[in-house]
Amino acid sequence: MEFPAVRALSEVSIAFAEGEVHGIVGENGAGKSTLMKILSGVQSATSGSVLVDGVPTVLHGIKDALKRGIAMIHQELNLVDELTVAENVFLGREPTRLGALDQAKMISETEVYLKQVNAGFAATAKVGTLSIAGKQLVEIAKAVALNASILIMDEPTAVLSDPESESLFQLIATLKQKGTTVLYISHRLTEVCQICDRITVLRDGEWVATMPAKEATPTELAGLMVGRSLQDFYPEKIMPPESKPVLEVENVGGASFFVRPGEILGLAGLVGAGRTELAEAVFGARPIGSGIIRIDGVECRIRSPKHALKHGLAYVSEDRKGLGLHLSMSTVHNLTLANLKAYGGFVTQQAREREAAIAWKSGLDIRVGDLDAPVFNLSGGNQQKIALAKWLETKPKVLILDEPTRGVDVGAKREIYNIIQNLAEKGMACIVISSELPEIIGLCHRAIVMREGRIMGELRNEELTEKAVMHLAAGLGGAGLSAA
Amino acid sequence: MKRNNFLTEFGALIALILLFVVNIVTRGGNFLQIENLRNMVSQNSAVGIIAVGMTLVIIAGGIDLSVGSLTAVCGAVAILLVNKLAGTGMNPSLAIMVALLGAVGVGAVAGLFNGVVIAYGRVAAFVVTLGGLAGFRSIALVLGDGGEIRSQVSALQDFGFGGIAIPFVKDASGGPVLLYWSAILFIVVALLAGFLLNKTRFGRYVIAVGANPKAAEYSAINIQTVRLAVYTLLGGLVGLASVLVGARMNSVGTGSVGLYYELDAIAAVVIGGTSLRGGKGRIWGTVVGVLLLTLISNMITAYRIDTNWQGLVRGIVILVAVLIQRGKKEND
Amino acid sequence: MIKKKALLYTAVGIVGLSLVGCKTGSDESATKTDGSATTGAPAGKKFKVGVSIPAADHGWTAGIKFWAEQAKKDNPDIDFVIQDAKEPGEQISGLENMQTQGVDALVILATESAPLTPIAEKLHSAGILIVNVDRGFTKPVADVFIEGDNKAFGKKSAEYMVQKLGGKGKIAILEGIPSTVNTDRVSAAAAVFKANPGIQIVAQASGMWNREKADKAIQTMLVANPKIDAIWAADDDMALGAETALKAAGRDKNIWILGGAGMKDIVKRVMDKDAMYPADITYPPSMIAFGMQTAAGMLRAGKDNTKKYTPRHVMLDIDLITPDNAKDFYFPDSVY
Repeated sequence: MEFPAVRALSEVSIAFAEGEVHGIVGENGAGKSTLMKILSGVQSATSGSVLVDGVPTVLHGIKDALKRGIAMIHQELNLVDELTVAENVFLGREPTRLGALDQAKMISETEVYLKQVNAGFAATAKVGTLSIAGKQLVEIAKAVALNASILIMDEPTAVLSDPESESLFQLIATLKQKGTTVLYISHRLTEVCQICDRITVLRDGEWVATMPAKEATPTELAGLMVGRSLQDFYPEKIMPPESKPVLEVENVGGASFFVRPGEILGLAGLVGAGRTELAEAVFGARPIGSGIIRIDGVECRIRSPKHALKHGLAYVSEDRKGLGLHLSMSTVHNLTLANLKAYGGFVTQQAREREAAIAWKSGLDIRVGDLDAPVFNLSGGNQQKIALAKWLETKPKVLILDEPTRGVDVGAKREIYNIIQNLAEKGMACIVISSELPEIIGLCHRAIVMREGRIMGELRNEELTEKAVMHLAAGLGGAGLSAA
Repeated sequence: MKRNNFLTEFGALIALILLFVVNIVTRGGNFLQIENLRNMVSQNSAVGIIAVGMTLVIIAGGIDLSVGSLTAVCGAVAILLVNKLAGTGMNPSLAIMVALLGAVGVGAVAGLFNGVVIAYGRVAAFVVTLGGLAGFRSIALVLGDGGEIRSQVSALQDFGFGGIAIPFVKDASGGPVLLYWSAILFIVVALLAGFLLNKTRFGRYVIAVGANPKAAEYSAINIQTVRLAVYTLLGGLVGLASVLVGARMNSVGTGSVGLYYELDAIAAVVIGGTSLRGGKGRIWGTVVGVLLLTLISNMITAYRIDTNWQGLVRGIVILVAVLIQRGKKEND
Repeated sequence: MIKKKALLYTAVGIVGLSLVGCKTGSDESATKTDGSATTGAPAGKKFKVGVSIPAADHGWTAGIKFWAEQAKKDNPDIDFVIQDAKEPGEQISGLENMQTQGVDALVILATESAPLTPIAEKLHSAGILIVNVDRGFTKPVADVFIEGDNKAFGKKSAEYMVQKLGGKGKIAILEGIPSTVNTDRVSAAAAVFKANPGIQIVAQASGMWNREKADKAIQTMLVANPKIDAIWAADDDMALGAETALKAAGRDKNIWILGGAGMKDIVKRVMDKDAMYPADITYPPSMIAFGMQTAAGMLRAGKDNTKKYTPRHVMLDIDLITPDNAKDFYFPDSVY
């Protein structure tokens, strides 16, 4: 299929060896996903060929690819929440006995695969009850069950916390020993360097370099990806002046914290530590129970996002596609949606909307061709900038950013960090929820660490290290001040 | 790709033009008579007005199956009101105006009721309005003792037959050809709804709520209010449509008026390219859908297609129109 | 949550109020309450008779309901249970319920013939007296079958039309919903028109027994046919729809309509010598009352004895209503 506007990929030739872990890196739009889709049979190439074991092979769809031992684990996991782990693993090729489903066989075989991937849950568990990391293990178990010789992983750690990622890496090592080839796509350059044998860099649909991982450094890779060298990834921290807190949260779901104008407060913890829930409660999207929220020292009743907006709170959701943006709506309409009242009363002044959109486009360097096209087709980074701009439109006093760089490529990541730092310099209070420790350390002035819905401690200045955060996040007691 | 997009956007319109050309070729001047064209704009104006309201409901991610039965209730209320008021000696025109407002009011309240149960009761729209489909019909039958409610005010049918003379044309006997009030109201309602959907904040919210209610809520939109509003608006439009039907018929058959209006309206909306999944749609498409359905009925009568085949002809046209527009796989 | 509920109930209250308000505004009074429950029935057991009819979806079926209520009022010594149904499935379960209620007789006007036949057969073999009205079962399971003669309807009305046009003219035909009743009427009429080559059928379409649909069909026909002398409609509801289209097009002066089924408004206008309706054809919904009366009479005198001389099949003749005899067919109190 020829793609509408651009050729997604041209003249890329890569050889993958048996039992190799091969990292593939590149900015969003560099062609990684397209390459992987071709390899996994989702799309077919307009020219060129795929050779499996030296034989030119045409892959007719995912099923055909699977038959040839190529399995892909998507960023968006393709599991049925309502079914059990075993049922998912055997979906589409259920064993039968006397015409009936052979549940016993399905479960016993699945238990074997789960053991191989070190999963801590049973084959009879409903997939819907598992964490994202758990679901990913199910996907991998499924690939193992299919005896896949080539496993393609697209951003597997984007949704995992660090310990979860760690166990994934061990699993990849095990698979490698068994001779499985793993194609590993990730934005996290450190981990790519750490776990891969060789790394290929793509840029703008073209091959840039393939090198042994031992010889690569994250900085060098990032340079190759964007075509220039990245000096320092994070902007210089400029500490805000001491001042009264703009937002005080007291006993919301048992958590209390505050943030000052101009401050970047990190909210760290493992996936499932309750950070998003806390943010959503502050934003009025969840009940706050007996909690109290004060803005500029005045107690506010925030019962809905609408109230939150009125009090100067903004929340950029981690779930960009589900909650942050309207994918089927245009860039302009997304940008102004939360602040539409500013563009006229009953009738909306569309010319002014457009002007604002153009201003945001250049202000945040949003790379979008047609401002009236659905944002669906934009890259993660550009979508994230639109989500950010949508909330900056409302001129908030406090901006809560939930995983602001998830699924965003390196170049855009850096731009987003700079934007956050700039906003803080202008006096906005920013709360950054992140599962990437370097992000918390590199960007935030101060961080609080959560675990199981509770705040385990607060870290600032030189206390703010990866080790200290991990200690608190894992519940090992901490180096910082206790904020119970 | 380009061609496909074009079809997706204008498929229904192309289908309408194609059928139009077929009719011109086979029926010639007979088809192009101004009366015939006028009739086609007017004949389904009641369903058309409802379909316009339905478009907003569907874009907002809802559906309303109760509109046909509600037409009977509102029409019954309107005629009972006209009779009662004219009986007290009120000026007939004034009585009709009051009855019109009454019918719109009853429709709006019934729509609000649907909306409240759907938005706050959190019951699926399909189920709530399925209840309305049965319940409202029953209320209409009670109001009319199972039969017909007749207007005793001749001015009502004068309104039904009245309209504005189309300039520069005369009928066979040299008299003016009237564009009926019902057609004029259909056009006006469609224009206003188009404006509402595309130019106002409310319209944007309707799209946002339909496209992704959760994201709309996170965008500080009160999604319940938006839902209430679209159902209430549709209810009011049903009231308006019911008066047009009642005026033309000079009566309301409580068992028969509005039968299958919900299906015709939904068919028109879908033919017009509005997604049943919400979040995307257009008023002009619905107008084209209504005209397409009317043209098909017109053809069936004119070509004397056997009654037993009518449903199939309609079904095929609906399916083809939707298939043309489906285009490439849809996003999201 | 409590607040939300309160809002919901308020809305219900408003709907209720406004509808009640309109109801009292109506000057059409509801059917009078019947006193049969309290007036003196003969000593001993009171006969129970189930009456199963289609739900009122157009004028004629509303008439059926009216005449059923009428017969119920006229026979206070019999416990009539009137039940209507929208479709065969509903009617079948209604009939089953009636059996468990212990009815002595059933008067059935079937929504559709074939699906109702097995249940009628079962009830008949259970010893219940079955009076079948209008739509016959596919097997002779009824003790008495009373029907109007739909073929005679078509024949007589077509003959009248031919005669009135002097054997020459252009006519349009409005059919009902495809069904046995419609086919009988339309094909009998078509046979008469065919035998008269001077009569030209210029248009034919279905008005679906419905005023609005008939209105739309005639609108289109009028545009396509500058000359039409008369419209033959398979029932009076559609005749009224045709009239609406004629009036709106300003062609009500030179086209007349022949409908059928004896709707009181049409009969009145025949009586008043309205040029648009020179005549009408009876197909009286009162036949349901006759069926109920027959059942009541048979039960009172002992059904096993009376079966011996009660005809198993009664074909009601169809009358042509003209200004001369119209007053015999005019029932101002009827809803139809």
